[in-house]
This record gives sequence, C-alpha cells and structure tokens, in this order.
Amino acid sequence: MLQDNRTHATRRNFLAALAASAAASRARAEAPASRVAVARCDTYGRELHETLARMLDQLGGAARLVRGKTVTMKINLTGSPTMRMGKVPAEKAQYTHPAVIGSLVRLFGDAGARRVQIVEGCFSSDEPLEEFLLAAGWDPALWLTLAPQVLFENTNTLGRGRRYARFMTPRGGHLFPGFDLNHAYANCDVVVSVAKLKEHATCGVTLGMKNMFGATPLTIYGDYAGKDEPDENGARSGRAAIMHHGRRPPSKSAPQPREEGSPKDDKWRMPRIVADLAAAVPVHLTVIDGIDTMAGGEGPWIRGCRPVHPGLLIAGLNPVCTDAVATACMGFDPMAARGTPPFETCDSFLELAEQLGVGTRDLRRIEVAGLPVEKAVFRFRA
Amino acid sequence: MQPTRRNSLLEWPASWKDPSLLRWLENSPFGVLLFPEDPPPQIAGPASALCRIVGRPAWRKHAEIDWRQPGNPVLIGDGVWPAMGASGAQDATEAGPTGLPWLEANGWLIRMARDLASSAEVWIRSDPPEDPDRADASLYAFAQSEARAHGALRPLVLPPRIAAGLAAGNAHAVSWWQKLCAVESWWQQRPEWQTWPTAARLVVISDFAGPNQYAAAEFLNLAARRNLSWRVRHPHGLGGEPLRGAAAVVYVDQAPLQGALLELLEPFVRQGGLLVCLDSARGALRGLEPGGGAHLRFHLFRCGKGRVAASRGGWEDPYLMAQDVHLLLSRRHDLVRLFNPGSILCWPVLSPDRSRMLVHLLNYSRTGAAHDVVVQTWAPLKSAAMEQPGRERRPAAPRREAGGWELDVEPFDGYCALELEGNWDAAG
Repeated sequence: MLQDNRTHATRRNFLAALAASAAASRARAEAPASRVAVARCDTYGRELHETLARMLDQLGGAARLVRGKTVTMKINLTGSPTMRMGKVPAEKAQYTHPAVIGSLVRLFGDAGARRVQIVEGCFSSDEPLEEFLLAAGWDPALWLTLAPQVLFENTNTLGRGRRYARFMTPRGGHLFPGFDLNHAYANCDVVVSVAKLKEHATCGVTLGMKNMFGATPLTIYGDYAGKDEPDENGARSGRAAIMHHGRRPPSKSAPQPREEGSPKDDKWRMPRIVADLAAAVPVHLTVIDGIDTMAGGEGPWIRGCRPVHPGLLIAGLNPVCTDAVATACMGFDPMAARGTPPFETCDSFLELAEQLGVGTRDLRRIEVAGLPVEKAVFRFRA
Repeated sequence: MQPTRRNSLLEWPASWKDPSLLRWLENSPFGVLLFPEDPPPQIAGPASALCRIVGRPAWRKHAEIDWRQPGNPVLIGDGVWPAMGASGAQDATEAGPTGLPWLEANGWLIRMARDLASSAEVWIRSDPPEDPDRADASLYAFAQSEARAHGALRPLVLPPRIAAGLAAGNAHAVSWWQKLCAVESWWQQRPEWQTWPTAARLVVISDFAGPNQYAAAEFLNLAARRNLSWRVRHPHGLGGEPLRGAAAVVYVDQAPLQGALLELLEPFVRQGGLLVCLDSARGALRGLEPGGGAHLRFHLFRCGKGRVAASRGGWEDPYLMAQDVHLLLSRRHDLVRLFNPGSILCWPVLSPDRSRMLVHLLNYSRTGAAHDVVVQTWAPLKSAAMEQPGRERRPAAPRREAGGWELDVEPFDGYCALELEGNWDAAG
C-alpha cells in the first residue's frame, strides 16, 4: 500500500504511512501463534473420519472445543450447484466434500456438541441450504442423525433470525469497521470454517479466511441489497457491486466501509474485506479439505483450471496460522507480498489479517503437528 | 418397434406451382400436405394419391383454445421458433432474472396441450426465421425434433431458398431436404416415445381460461425452464388416476375448491401431499392448522400428514411462482438432475410398464454443451443408452456417485435421448 501511494505522497500522508507501517510491524510481532495439524488422507472413505479425529486430538480434542455448545459450521459451496469442472463433481473440485462435512458433524456430535448449524451463503440465492445441497446432488438428510440437533441455514438472508448480528472489526479494520451477519454467527459458541484448498483469481488463495466472505448476507452486501435496510427479497446475484468494486455502499443500516480515496480494484478491496472479516468474526476452528480439489482458481469458471489430488487435510484453531500453513502446503510462501505467487496481482490477506493482530503467518512461529509441511507440499503451480 | 406411419407434415410452398414437384414427397416421411389457402386443383389432384391433404388449417392462439373442446388435431398456431433468445445486438443473448439464457421453447405448450387433449394429435406451427442465413438444416431439424420429443407434429415450412433450390434440383437444397427427411423418418421409427406420459411428481390443475390463463401457462413455461416436470389436468377432467405418483398439486385457478376437485385434493393432502393454491381458493379445505415454518409469500398450513401453501399475494410473478413451488415441493422429488446444463432443457417420460425412463435432452444453443453434461438420478439404474438422429444407439455406463447414479452425456448438437432402465414405480 505504501508503495502504491508514494507517487501521490504528501509529507502528511507519508508520515501517516510510516506510522501505519510501524503499527503493522508491532501487530505482526503481537499476532498470536497457534498449532496447526496437517495430515495425509488419500480418500473420502473410512480413513477420513479417523484422520480428522486424530487431527482434532492434536489440537486439544473436539470435546474441549464443542462439549455442550452450539457449533456453526460455515462450509464452502462456491458458485452454482449445477456447475462442474468437466465431469468432476463439485465436491471433488470447488466444494467442501460432503464426507468432510458429515464427518465433522459426527465428531462434534460424539464430542457432546448440543447443536450443529451448517451454514452457507448459497450462490445468488435465498433458497434453503438443504435445497441448494440437493441441487448439488447431495443428500443433506444423511447428516441429520450425526449430532443431537443439526440445522441448516442459508445466511444470505435473515433466515430464522429476527435481526442481523453486528460484528465490529478490532482496530477499525482496513476497509470495513464492522459487518452485519445472519444470527447463526452470533447464536453459537463455536464457529468452524470448513474450507477447500484452492487458489483464487482475486485473492491468490481461498482457504479458511476467504471462505468466510460467503458469510456476508446478500440482502445487505449483494448487488440487489436494500439501500437503507436489508432487502429480504434481494438475495440474488453476487456481491460484485458493493464488495468487489465499491460501486455502491451496503445497506445504510450496516457499518459503512471507509471508501474515501479507496481503490475500486477488487484485488485491493477483497483481501482487505477478508482480513476485516477474519478480525471481526472469531473463527475457532478451520478445517481445510485438500484431498481432491482444483488448481488454477476457485471454480470451474476460471480458464485453465484443473482437478488435482493433494491428498491433504489441514486444521487449526487460528485462521491465519492455518491458512499460512495451507498456503505453504500448496507450494507458496505465506510471507509473500503482492507481486509474488500466489499474490501476483493482489494484496495478501494473510499479511493484512496479521496486521490486524488476528494471527501470525510466520511459519517459524507456528507449530505443525502431524505431517511436516515440507513433506506435505503439493505444488499447485507445478 | 411399431410399423412406421408417414405422418410428417409439410406446408406446400406458395412458390411451387408445378405438380411435378410432388416427386419430393415420394418415398419421403411427409404424408400430410398442408395448404395455408385452398389447395390449387392442379396440385391437390395428384397429391391426394400420395398423401393426406389439409387446406386452410384453423391455427389458433393457445390462449384462445377452449380446452373442454380443443378439437382434433389441436392446432396451435402461436408456437415459437425454438432457439436461445436473441437480443437486438448481434452476438448477444437475452437473459432471464437469474442470468440464465432465455430460451424460446415450445415443450411446455405442447405438453400442456397433450395433457389437456389426451386423445387428440397436437400440431404446432411458427414461422421460421426470415433471415436466409438461418436456413441451416440443423435449425429446422431441431425444430422438428423439439415438437416430436414432446409428442407433437410441426409442419415443415421450407425456406424460400430451399424451395427454389429443390424446384431447380440444386444439390445443397437436396442435401438439406434429405437431412430433414432422415430426422422425420427417425422419429417415425419411434412412435411409442411420443405417447409415453410425463414422469413427474407435480400435477398442475387449471382451466387455462380467462383470469387463470396467464399465470397457469407462464408457470408451466417457467417450471419447465427449471427442468421441473409436471402433468396437467383440467378441473373438469379428473377421471382416471389424476394424482398417481404425485407429491404436490398446484391449483392455479381463482375459483374456490369445491365439488369433485375438493373431494380429490382433501384426501390427497391428508395422506401427505402438498397443495399450493391461492389463499382465496383454499376456503373449503377442512382441518388446516398453521404450521410448517415461515414463508415470505405463502401462508403455510398442516393438514393431516400433508401441507397446504396458500399464496398471500396471488400469482403476480410466475418466475417466483415456479421457484417457490419447486422449493416447497423440494428438489428431493426431481427425477433427473443435469449438471452443466447450459441451454439444455430436459423432459422425462415413462414407458407404460414403468421399467424405462426416457429423458429428452434439447440443446437450444445448438453448438454442443459448453461443458460436459452429466445426468443424475436418485434411482438405481440397471442400464442406460443414448440415442440421437443420425447415430447408432449406444450404451452409456451409469456410475454410482455420492448423490446418486450418474451418466456422462456425449456432446450433441440439438437433440438426444437417454433411455434409463430401472425401477421407476415411484417416478410419478
């Protein structure tokens, strides 16, 4: 950011940039570090459940995290449920695999979770999440018996809630000082981001933190969002106008982004929004499905994408640490800045989240349990 | 295989004055000759030895047909030329509210007519494109196949350049004609396909008249666009087993439920069915209790083991109506599901013994699927085969995936059929 602004620098904003840089350095040093578990898992069969159970044990045990609690699980269903990369089912490319979701629900149920809420902001739609899953060719009914109470919610709207929950960004955030989200993110004790190990055309990689971008309701942040208040009939289309390009503000009822002088380039904006969300919405566990996935982008609409089989699972209690390890497992440097893979054309949301004090991306400070990173590396740009 | 019947329709070109041009009908599948005006005697005489002649067919707009007396054949004169919707701008297409390309399709209209006039033939006509550059034989073959796949006949209207070319014996025109003859012959060898009833878990009841006509017809159109299949019944034609296999009924009309219709629907709901209707039409239903969650556009009730969804604001938006009905019914009842569908519409029909489901796939872009198309069903498949005009029948290998049984569909130009062998007793 400093470099971009230098051509327009005045003494005042140069000093401000220096101060920000110093603050960022302090934040980086203060950013918490947390253990991340990495495991080899070749299939979505029986070994998956055993591997996930072992990984949760390595992170302190599922019971310590969820016993007697309500768990909100944000899954990753990017794009239309009927769109596939060639003949590859979505769960083996762009979607979190249903076996991973089912296995986690069972592990949480067995560990004493009181309730598991499976949530996603379904692509361009306000339809019930169960119906979206059916459209993807899955049967969500299979998960209903795996924990005492399993609920589904499409968080693009108010859903079962009476009002949106407000999440403020510590330190004011880079762009968004806060977000209004579906009640499922507030009416819970534990938030779990269940993501996919993928690259991303706009953000470099899409892991646990980028997964949470789908939590922003279309009624407030979508292209047809209400001007003053959320429009419960407006959950259609995407989030390009408000979030990607800043062409219009979110509903006035929600915290407003600091748009003055901000670039309208989504490769500047989106990493900041992802970092702001990571700071605003506490994610207690991130699980990244890297068994069967895709390289070259986040969905089959990306030209040149291809299916890949890293055969990996990654889990951690801190979203930045977990994403940093996952980034390294993809063959990238999590310390990379803009201009370096995988952030060739965008800012690094890992760096931006670290600046907000969410967690460290410095592998030297992160303890890895299970498979060492150097043995886990699967080069997405091979 | 049943014996073929030369029942294909040809509209005699106005430019053809020479009776010797009747030679094109010899040994062709075209056995019915249509004349928009009275047939000229010098043509009608010799033509009658070759085929059936129909002069001045009384084509009607579908909204003007009295479905209690639709006639035989039912003559629908306001069909559309099947294609992806084109906008004014070149190289552009129209999109619907979801961003899906708008498709000009006749399937819903033909199926509606077939269900409402079950003992009649359905003929459907529309003017072909005026642009001579759109006279490609594949466009016309697709239009013929669209009608045939849904069980109707469409008169072939020769483009002026082809009519003139055939009169002159032009090689391109002859090739064009032979391709159309081959497609029609292919369909004539499969007459049973055109009589198999729709496989659907949804039944739509309406008189398709007066204030009910627009909402009912548009609902059928837009539900078909979602690849949500349905069967149609008229409120005064409820004989047989109108709700066999149905999981939901949409009663579109404004008239309150009463008489035979009420006697049919009340037990259907009590036994577990879903009824979707106008709030003003549900009055006579007994035993409704509020329940079943909240919905922006419907009052939801429980009734016995079933549910009633009563529209709060009427059927103002048929797009939302189709979406709401699909979701209230649940995609769990989708009989087939397409992945990477693009501009493909599908329609499933069942063999009389319910051992085979035939899925008609119509690709309105006509340039092959952008991505690989996959068909999924919940029901286990014993075997599957793919058929299309001009190619050998070939087996397809179903495979078990996380969500059901799947089949890869080879790229195809305009039309293909998948025959799925299995147990389809629960398929509506």
